[in-house]
Amino acid sequence: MDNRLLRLFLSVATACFLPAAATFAAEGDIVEEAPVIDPSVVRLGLKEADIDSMDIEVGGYVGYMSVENFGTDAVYGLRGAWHVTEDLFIEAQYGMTSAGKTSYEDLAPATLLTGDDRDLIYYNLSMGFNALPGEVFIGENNAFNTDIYFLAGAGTTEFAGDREFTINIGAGVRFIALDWLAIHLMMQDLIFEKPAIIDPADSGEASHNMQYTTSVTVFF
Amino acid sequence: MFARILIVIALASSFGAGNALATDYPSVEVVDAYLDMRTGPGRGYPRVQIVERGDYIEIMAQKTDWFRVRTKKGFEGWVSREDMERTLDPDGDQVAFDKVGQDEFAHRRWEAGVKLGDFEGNTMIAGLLGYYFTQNLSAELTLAEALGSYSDGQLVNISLTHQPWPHWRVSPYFTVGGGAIKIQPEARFVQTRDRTDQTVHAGLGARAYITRQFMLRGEYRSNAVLTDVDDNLEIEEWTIGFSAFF
Repeated sequence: MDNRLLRLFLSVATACFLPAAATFAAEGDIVEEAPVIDPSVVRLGLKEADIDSMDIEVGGYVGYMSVENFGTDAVYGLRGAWHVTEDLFIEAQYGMTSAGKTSYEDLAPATLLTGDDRDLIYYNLSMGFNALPGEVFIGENNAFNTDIYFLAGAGTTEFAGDREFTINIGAGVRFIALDWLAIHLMMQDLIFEKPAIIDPADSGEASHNMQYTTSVTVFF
Repeated sequence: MFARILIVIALASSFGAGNALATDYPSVEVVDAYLDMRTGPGRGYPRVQIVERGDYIEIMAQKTDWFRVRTKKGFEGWVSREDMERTLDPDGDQVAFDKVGQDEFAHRRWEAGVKLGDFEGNTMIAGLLGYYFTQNLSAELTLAEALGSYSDGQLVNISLTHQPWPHWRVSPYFTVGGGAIKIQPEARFVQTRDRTDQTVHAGLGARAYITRQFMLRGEYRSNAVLTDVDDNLEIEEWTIGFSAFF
């Protein structure tokens, strides 16, 4: 019993005094040994925020849009995309054209639409898929990356005094001229219900409006 | 004396600027046997160069999960995120980029998304922006269009949403709010005019975490349009949507 008490006392005493002894020993050595943590070291690390990311692509486009029943006219617009992965991107577009005359207006002395009603303005949001990445070669020493992509989405078209829900499907080629600069060729079908002016019976028939555009975009 | 101090300060600061330029890009050390470099930011592009163990590469830019890098010899190419995470940063630690997962889903601050659905028989398309005050409570701004055969509506409203279980992968919520609707009859009904009314709404929905920083959401709302006539117009709204959180 005594023995056990003595052992307990000794171990408590050792626990109390040993750290103090260690401190005394350390005080002698402190000048020679470098401290474990050097407060003057600047930790450089590597954070993703330090790297210039280029997932956002914005630009403009011009081309032709064939508005069903109203002829083909110049279209121009803005587009912006967020590249989520190497395969997927989310794209927003805002474009406008001014529709021409229907053949009825050409034949008969009639005007179906006046002023602003002839302007067709649309916006849409699409999901894009970079399906076929590739390379093109120009001459002996130049190779440029390309993507053939498909996209589909939904939006609104304002035309002939109506606003119509619009589905779009399209395909394009992205030619990456520089890391931050791309040129696109794109075909897109904007599908919406025929405006009341050419569908008075409200049959709900869809009109297909093809647009062919060239875009210049920058990545940042 | 004073001029001399000024010159010293000017020299010191210009040297500082020079140093900053020299170390413009962060560099990492290759510790795998070798590192593949490709011609483009995608798994389909051909491998054109390898970097050996012990060599340093500079990281110039990032496109999705790919990094444009430059070797000591000035060769440039693209390295995948997976490969990049097997290099050492300037402190000698393994490179680890932030990953967005379900935990970040529960602690999101901002949400931006789109919704598509039915607004009492009309097609509805909407964009939304949400801000989370706490994990449970958020405010949402919605801009929407309801497109029908007889009239089109444009809506703007603000909601307060509450999700009782933010840590669930599929997290239900309820929402209340109010706003305004502008109803424009279609062009062929020339005799009617546009009108704007106030709305109030209450609803139920759920947000489901998919992957990375994306979620799906579905929502039912019951809207009441406060018209001038005696009866308020009740409108049922069903939507499904897709959002990104930050």
